[in-house]
Amino acid sequence: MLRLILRRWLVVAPTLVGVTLVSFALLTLAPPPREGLESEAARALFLDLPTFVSADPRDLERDVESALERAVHGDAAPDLSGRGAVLVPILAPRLSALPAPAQRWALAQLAPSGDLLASEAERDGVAAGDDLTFWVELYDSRRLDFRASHVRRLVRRLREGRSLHAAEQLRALGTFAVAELIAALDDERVDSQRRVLSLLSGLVPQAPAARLGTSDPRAPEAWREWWFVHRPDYVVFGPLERAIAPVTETRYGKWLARLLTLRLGTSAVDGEAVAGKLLQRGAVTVALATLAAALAFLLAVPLGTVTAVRRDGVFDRLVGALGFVLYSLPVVWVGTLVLGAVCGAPGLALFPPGGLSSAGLAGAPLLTRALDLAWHLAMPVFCLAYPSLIVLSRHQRSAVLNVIRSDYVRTARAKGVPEHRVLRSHVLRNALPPVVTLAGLEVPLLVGTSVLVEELFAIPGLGRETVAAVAARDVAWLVAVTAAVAIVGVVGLLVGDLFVALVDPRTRRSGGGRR
Amino acid sequence: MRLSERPSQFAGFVRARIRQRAGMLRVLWRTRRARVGLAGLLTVVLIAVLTGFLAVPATSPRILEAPSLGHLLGTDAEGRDVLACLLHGTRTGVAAGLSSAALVVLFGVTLGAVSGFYGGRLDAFVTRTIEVLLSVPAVVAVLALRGITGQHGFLDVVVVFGVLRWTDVARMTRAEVLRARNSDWALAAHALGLPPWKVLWRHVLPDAVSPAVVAAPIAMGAAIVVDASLTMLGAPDPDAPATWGALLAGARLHRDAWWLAVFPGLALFACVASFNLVSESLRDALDPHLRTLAVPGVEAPPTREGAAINTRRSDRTNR
Repeated sequence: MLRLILRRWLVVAPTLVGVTLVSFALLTLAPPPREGLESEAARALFLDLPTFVSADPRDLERDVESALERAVHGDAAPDLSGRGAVLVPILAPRLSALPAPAQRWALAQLAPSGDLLASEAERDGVAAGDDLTFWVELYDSRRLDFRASHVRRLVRRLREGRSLHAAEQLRALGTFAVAELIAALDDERVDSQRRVLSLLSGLVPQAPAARLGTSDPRAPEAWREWWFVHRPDYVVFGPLERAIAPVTETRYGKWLARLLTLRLGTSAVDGEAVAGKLLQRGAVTVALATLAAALAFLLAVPLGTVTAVRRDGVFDRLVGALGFVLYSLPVVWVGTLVLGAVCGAPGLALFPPGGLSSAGLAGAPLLTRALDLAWHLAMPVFCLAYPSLIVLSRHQRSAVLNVIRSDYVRTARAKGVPEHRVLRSHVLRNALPPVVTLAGLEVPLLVGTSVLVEELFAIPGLGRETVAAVAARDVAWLVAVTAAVAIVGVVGLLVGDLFVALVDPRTRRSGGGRR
Repeated sequence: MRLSERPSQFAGFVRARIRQRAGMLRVLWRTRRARVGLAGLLTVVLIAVLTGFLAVPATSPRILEAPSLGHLLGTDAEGRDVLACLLHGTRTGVAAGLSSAALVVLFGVTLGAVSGFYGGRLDAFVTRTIEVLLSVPAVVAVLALRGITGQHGFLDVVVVFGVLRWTDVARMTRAEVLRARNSDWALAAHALGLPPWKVLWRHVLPDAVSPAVVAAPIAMGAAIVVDASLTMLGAPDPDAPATWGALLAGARLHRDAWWLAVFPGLALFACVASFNLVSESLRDALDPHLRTLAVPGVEAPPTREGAAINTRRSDRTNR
């Protein structure tokens, strides 16, 4: 059984890769932001990166090298001074070896960091205007400060609030401290996080996250998002990272990294993190779809069996005709009619008009709340389940009809096995597997349909959010939701397969594989 | 074979094919279900064509009036006559349905036939792609496309059906091609030295298109329903053209105006039901083996292995 599960997962792996590609294709359809390709919005979509393979992935070191190259040749080199103090450990040791034009450019890039870094005394010791000497001497005395271990120690002290100087010293290190500070955000303690956040907003005032304020609960996620996009601007890649950078520093690589780390950006509707909302709302939708699939399956099996056994009887004809009519009715329309007829104002108020719970039940006993939930779910689940019920019962009917004609059923009857046992152990046992597979196939469809039903019945699931996101043109949410729903669909298929293996020993022995 | 023989041979081929098709149509016409379904289908298409000569329903100050002699089916929130809107909405529906179904059949048959006939790596690739696309629900894909591109029209539905929904047809066509490829006549054609594409086109494909023919009306109905459902759930837009979905969207806002919900819904139902009837009777006419899934009362002979599985996706699309 375990081997079967493992093998199925292996088979599914390429499918999951395909799902990431499909959602990535959707992402590339998004129109480029109006501000232009160099803007923050464009960078957040990684429009500055190549699609699949990057011939020359850039990081801080590459940026500096190419700029120096241009400066040496006397071309206009890009202005990197916005990067701040991360430039110091790269440029300062090489200053004296640089040719004059490159030196001038390098000193101009370093200038803004000098004020932060140097104390009054250090400033005074050097003649005004002799920047070269100033930087050489400064770097000589401060070289040991520009080490990751030193910064890490300072950040630890800052987090624990033990040292008053830690913040001062980190501020002096400028953007060089940002990498460690972002990592320190994982410390969930409020005061520690506040200290880190206020330092970050001081160091990188141009980041959009700096505008949020230190007490905003969205701030840590906003900073992590900013770092995810801007990390190559501030960090020199290690050998391993440089080796894989041609693949990871691409639009698709970044999208894959987003999916794997659940860093799916922030929603344009309310600024919350997409991943958190996706898990929270997705749970409702998946619960709804699973409930509907289970209900449909559990009702379809007896219904299909009875209509097959009493073939062409009154009941069979009735169910067939009713099924055909119901099946041709669009779900949204049935939902609208149900809402108008039995939920609330114009019709009978048998069921609530929407939502998942009544007001004023917060402190009620568990049983009351459970009943209330069931009362709210009854109509949405009915609307969701009836198309699947019809499909599955039709298939159950045809499967039973097939088996009933088989030789072993005739043999069983001939040797005098009671009819109920023939049905149970010969007919049902052989008719079930294909229908179970089908029930698994229903899950992606049900998730899709539940988007419609949720919107109708005001259930706080994926559907409501998605409809709101369409109006707000929230690309991050829409792409994430498509990927998530597809992954749920793949998992539904897998679960269906496992149930088939449970019901049907033959699949187990031959080691899986669809029939 | 000499060149001079070819015309007469071709004429014979065509005559045989016509006789075959006519026989199929006769079988199709024999049942009441098929007649009702075909009549419905023709009516819908006819309305769609004829309303091209009709004026676009105009707004008037008489908003949200209940059905009366002046406005047989009442008026909507902009004062447009619901009957006129319904008739006009048929155009959008039929356009969405026909183009979606055309794309579904085109891609499905081509990819399914090629992958089943040539096999190998191409087949593995197509099968994988189908598995991926099957797990993306069309409703979510259309919503995502509308949100990302900012276009709200039936064209999104057509694109999504063209990209996602060919999979059902491809799977079934592939299974049929796999069966027909090894038939005696296909082997004979191959032995006579016909190039593979000709064997596929002339001797395998004619025997393998029935699933596509059966799936086409269903895809049509599904596209119409998806378009109407998503228009209904989207933000109400007063400038939107008069479609069934727009009428239903009005019904969500004005819960007392029952005529806004009931009549477009009935139109959708009639449309989809007749398409489903056509599809079911086509299935019976084309392949008696596949009849087990039809409405009770029809003789259901033992199915070939896997027949139930082959048809299973064909009737799962109407929501």
